[in-house]
Amino acid sequence: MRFAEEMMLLLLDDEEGKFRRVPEWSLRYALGGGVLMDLALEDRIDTDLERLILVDATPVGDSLLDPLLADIAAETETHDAKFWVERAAGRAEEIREEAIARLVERGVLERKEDRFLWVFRTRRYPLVDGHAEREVKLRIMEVLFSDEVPSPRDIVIICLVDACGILRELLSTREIAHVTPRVEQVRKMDLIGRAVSKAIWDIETSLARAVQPHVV
Amino acid sequence: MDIEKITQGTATVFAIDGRLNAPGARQFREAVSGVAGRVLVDVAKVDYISSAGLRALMEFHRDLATQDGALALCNLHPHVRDVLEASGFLSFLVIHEDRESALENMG
Repeated sequence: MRFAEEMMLLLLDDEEGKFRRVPEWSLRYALGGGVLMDLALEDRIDTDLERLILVDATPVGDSLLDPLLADIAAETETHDAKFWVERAAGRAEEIREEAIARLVERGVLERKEDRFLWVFRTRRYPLVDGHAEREVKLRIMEVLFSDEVPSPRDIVIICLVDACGILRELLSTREIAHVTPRVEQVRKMDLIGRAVSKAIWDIETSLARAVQPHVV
Repeated sequence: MDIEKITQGTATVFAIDGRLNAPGARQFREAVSGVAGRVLVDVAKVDYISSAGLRALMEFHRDLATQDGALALCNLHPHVRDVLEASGFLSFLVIHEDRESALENMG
């Protein structure tokens, strides 16, 4: 399962069958960052503190990853990971739709159309098979509540759920306070994850400046 | 990238010469595959490490830990130390100044 699919599962409110609302910009960056991280784990790209490097332009054969890989391969200049997180965020809507469609196709979610006030169409995605959702939540909790060195995949999903605020939906306020130092430790461990956090931080800072220019 | 494998006492030493980037990380994974026990990676001749290199080190560390083994690094180039520090790897990797003191400390 790709990170975008795992993120959409974690965003799902199981009872309502709807996706929880998180800040739009943070979700876009996290979905784009998730695709970049999948490309890194597929050995197609590599990063350091300054640059994102194309390692292998051969398509993965995955429609969720290959359009962005083609973008990176077509670019003539070298850019840092934050540049590519921002570029990938431009594809967030298609990444989101593709991820949901796959979850439906796999039989994890079901797509249901409802009518509100007999006029407005609403869409719900009741959970059909909760195994994958439980597994990814368990992985996250095991890392956050232990001192073990996490796996690269676990680091990535923690970077992403933290970046777009999903963690606040999964844990109580007290638990969040308890795991915050651990989250900070883990999210440093992936350079693309750091770029996602930085991109979101930059937007939040500029929004705060716009609202309260004398404070920030 | 060149990787030399040396057995010193009860420890296995891997001396790496080259860049620990994506191709280097692949080579490193192949070289350390199946190795257990106490392992020292001498990175005196490594002046570059990327995300792929970090992941390879992390995976090896995890593999060794599950088999009661241990991983240590020595002779860090300043750039490599900076990257390990920025990514929080110094919080779990054991680092030694040089090979002699590393082997002494590793018993």
